Amino acid sequence: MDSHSWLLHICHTVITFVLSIGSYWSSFASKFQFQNVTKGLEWLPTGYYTIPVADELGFPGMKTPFHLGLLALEDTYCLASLALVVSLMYSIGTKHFSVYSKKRLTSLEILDLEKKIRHILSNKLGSSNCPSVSVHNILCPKSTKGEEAVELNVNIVEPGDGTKMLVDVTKHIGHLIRRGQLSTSDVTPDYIDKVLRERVQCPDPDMVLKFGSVPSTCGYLPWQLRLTEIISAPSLRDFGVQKLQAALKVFSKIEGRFGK
Amino acid sequence: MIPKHIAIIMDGNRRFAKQKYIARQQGHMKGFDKLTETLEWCLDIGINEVTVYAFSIENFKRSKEEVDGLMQLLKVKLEDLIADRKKIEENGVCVRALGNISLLPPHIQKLVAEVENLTSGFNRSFLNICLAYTSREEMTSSIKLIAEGLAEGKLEDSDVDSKLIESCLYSNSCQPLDLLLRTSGEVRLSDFLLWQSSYTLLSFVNVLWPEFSRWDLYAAVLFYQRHQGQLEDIKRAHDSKDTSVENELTDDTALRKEIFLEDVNNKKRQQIENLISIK
Repeated sequence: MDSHSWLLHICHTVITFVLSIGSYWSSFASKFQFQNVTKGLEWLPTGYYTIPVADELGFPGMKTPFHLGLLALEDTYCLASLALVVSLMYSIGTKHFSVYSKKRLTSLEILDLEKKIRHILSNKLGSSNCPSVSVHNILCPKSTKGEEAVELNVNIVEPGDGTKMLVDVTKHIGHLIRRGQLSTSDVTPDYIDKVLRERVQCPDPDMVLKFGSVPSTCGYLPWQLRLTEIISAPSLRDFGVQKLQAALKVFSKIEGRFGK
Repeated sequence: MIPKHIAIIMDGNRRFAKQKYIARQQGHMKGFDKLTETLEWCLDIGINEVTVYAFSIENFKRSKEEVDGLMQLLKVKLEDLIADRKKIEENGVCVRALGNISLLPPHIQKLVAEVENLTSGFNRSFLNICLAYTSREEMTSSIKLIAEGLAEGKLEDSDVDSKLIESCLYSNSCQPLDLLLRTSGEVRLSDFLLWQSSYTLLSFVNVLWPEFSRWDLYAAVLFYQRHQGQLEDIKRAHDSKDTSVENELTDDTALRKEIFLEDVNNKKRQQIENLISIK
């Protein structure tokens, strides 16, 4: 082992020790906070959830994402917190969401998430003004033909969905070329993007909020991440208005240059 | 535990130039010099593969003066590489260009091919330079190759899975990516290695690229050591749910894929040889 490797080894040992003390304390603190926050949200009856007014969340110069990706990469998290973030963001104009989690959401949990979002929004806006909400897998968007248009679109993304949609598009393009309906020269990034957008029926996420300590997107929609701003937060458990506002401030300050 | 393969978005040359009241071109020159230094630091600690985002397809939108200046700088650096053959041999560095090289000026295409050809036999360390590159263009190129294979009957629908798309990317001979580092404090991937960085640790460093130091690299390695285990756990859990990878390979499928991929690689080699033979 040369001198650099030794140096790194020593630094790693010292930092690991310091971090282990820090993470012990934060796990103790977060358990304490988790009980306080989630007990109320999980067990109180319908209509409990309150949503702060948009003015409370908004600030001068605020940019609102069109599509917000929510990456819940913690071992456990509560659906009520997720529903609260979706509802808050809807109140300031975000209409498209995608939810990607470490643990796969069951169909019951997906229904529960939809119910919680509806509860929060009906409580705030009144049941007659509550938007039409659709929570569904990103690969099976709900058809709007003959139905009311979806005003709040929540896409559930599962591991492998991002690559699976590219595999499907590849096969589709192969068929079109074989039948003479498409020329190879027409297969461009813009063409593939158009096909994908028709399938998933939502724009690319312009902001991702990543919860948890793992600094990675962990397989979330590779094609769509092109220009997404990735903003991290330690936990979804105690993620309230102030932390959401702080994340939005970071997002609003960013200026995309698009290569120029 | 040292990462084997790191990727770098070398961002901040122009902001550095602005801060220091120097010309943009000088900022880019400082950036290239920093790359040489960083590669040496990487070799010192055992990182044997580095991928850098040198020139995006989107960068062609910059002013003609800036694009011409960057191409001139690239030409000088590629010529230096060819001239400094001894150093490359000593370190056993294989240099690869990833991207749609046909978009570059012809004299640069030829130089790129010469460097690739000159170093293709080395395998102790690897430098992948992304030139005229965007990740979406890379994925499109892979999808196009496979779709042509399907249309020509070289492949069947059941052969197509995420592994096959990965095998046709420009980076098909690279090791899995362990760490992606972006300087300048920006928190986006800017169309760089979107596929390859799916399960990679992302380190956004708040320092401009020409000011990147050996200590910033060490901090990134420590960051990798701290989080790598957590990421492995998530990847393992997700792999078991991923349905885009074929679980069972029949002999026929495996053979068709092998022949197809061999054909793809032969075409790539042929392109390099054609470029070198241009006078």
